[in-house]
Amino acid sequence: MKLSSFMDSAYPQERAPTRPSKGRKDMIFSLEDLADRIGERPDRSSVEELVGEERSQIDLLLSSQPGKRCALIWGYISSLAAEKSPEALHLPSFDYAGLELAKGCIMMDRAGDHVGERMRGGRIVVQQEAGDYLGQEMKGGGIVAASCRDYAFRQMKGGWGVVKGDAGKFLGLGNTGGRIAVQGSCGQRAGWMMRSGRLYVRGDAGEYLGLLMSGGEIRILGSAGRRAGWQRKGGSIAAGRLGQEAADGVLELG
Amino acid sequence: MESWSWARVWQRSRRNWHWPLLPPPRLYFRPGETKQAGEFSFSNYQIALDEEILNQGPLYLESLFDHLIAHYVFCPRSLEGASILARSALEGLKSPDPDKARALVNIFSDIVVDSLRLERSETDREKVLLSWKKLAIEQDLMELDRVVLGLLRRYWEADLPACTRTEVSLLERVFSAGFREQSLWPRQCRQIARILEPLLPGILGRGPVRCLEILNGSADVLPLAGAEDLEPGQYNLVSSALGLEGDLVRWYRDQSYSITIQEAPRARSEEHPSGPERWRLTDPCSELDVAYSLSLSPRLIPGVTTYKRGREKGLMAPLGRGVPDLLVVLDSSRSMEGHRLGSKTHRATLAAFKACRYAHSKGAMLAAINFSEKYLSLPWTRDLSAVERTLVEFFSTRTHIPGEAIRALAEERPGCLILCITDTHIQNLYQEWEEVERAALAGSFVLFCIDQDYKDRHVEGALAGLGRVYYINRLEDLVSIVVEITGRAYAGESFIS
Repeated sequence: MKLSSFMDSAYPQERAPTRPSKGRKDMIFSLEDLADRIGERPDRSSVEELVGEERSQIDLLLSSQPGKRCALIWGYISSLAAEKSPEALHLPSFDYAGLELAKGCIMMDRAGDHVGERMRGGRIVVQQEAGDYLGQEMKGGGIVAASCRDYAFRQMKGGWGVVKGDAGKFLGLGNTGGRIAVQGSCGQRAGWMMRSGRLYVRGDAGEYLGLLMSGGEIRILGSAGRRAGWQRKGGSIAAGRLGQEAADGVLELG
Repeated sequence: MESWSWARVWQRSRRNWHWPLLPPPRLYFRPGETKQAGEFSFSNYQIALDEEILNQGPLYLESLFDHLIAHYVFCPRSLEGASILARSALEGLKSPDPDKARALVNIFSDIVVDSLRLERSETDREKVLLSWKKLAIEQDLMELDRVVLGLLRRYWEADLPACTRTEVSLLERVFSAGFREQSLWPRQCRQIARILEPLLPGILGRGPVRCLEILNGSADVLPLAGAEDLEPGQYNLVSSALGLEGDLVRWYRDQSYSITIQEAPRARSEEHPSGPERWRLTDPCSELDVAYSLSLSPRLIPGVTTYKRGREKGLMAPLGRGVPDLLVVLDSSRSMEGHRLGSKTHRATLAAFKACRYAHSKGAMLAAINFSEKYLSLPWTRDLSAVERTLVEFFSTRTHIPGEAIRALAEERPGCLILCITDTHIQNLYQEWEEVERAALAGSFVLFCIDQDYKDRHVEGALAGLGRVYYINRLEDLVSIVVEITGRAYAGESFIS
């Protein structure tokens, strides 16, 4: 027992009520402070270790405006908060929200870039437009967005994604699993270098649909642009109408 | 108030803090005021009192003395502590400025020391709050001061003006981690800088940083902590925040302090006389100690009453020997990359600094040549500062080795140690070859070639004939190898094979 603790227990009435409290060394003061402690390459385990379980600390960090330097850290904290929250967590539209999310639910009005990146479980719902790289490298869980920009669900390995409106270019680039459904149309080079998984588009697709794909399944209810299935090595592509120079083996549904 | 009374207050404050060894306060006279006999005025003296302070009364004076003493014994205490805090404050600022950093270090340390005073003694509460209450009623209070007073109101639960700004909560969070943990201070100070930067300046934080070395006037000659992690520009900012003048010489000097040279002097093993031993017929007659033998017995009976001086072998302290003088030849061409952390120039200059400092401590004379297309030559001297000033020059042009100047200096001091540090992109090596060869004959030539990729078989062979050549693969090794070679040279080992 330290002398101060011994004296406090021996003379409780003498203890000053206004004495400034002795604090904890592990307290995080702000996102920048956390970034200083973590260093240049943040990862989930170090963020989890430093932030700890305390709810007030997580809330404080989550309410901060992340600069470019702290964007990844804020993303990890948003996932930690969502996993601990018993109900859906409403977040502002910053980049990297739901980074490596494992469970829980995140609701956003708009989404920045890299939302739901490397997520393994849980749900992310974006009421309006999402930015680039939505659900990049995701392995599980699901994302619903009103629309999204380029590189959505790039290198997806598992899980599912639903886009209620239109998607940008390079949808499902290099996918090795997972399912993507787009209720509107998608831009050029959807399913580029796709190796496995499913891509379903209710509207139209741009040119070079399924370029260099080697596996998986692409279904377009509307029309596909020119050179659909160009240099395809495997997998299947079917579209309502095919544009010019479609590769052999690409099915036209008619 | 008479002078004896404030002297007594000073002694009372010192007693409160267990008699710290601090110089006594002095009365400070503004220009135009009459000076009392026996008093003198230094405008930069840290514990200086003027009439205005004395008129505040003994309680205020004691509070002021307690506050100042707490600075000198607790936070920031030393130059090292102050430099760590100043560096943290600068890191927290979006636009680093030494004046802002100084103000933030002062504000942080003021809060820390007064929190300590409050925690230390409950009876001192009124005394501690006296100066803060005085500040609160100032007419020209600024936003920064209001925020700090708002923080102290919450943190100390004191009767000070409230402030509703969000910065108060953020500051409170910083100090809720405590103030005693010194390992937290840099983080806390950095965070305070981030929070308070938009509110600067204010009444608080004015004046110099209060640490012992600055008070004692020795801050200029002491190393600044953490210089090895700072770029020259950052180092100058930190120095400036502490009211010191930072330059390249001091930057290198402060880094070289932390490099140690391990001395391993070899003891010599020799015969030395020991006690008397029996002389026998088989021993040479010359060894017989007749006088000693006759002193023990009137008759010399061989092997019985005959003695000789015995000798035994053992380790003895090494003989005193002359130390070789040191000539440092340093390349400062463009390919050496200039003075910044981790560059070839940085490593080479740091190594040269350490070697010079060590040789100087051993009593050696020093000379230096700093060369690029032109060169700067310093003749043999014992002035270490002059050598250091020569070494930090950076010409940043082509690499022309001044063979004649090296030879001239080497021949002035035969047997000197010549340390040449270059990246060997020497464009006039063959023109100057004869001169360099003659210099190598006059002294012990050790060449450190930094750029391993530029290694040329013919040049390598030629250079090997001069003396010892070290090719440095990793730049980090340069300092340790130079230091090792210098250590060996001055510890008496043969380092040239």
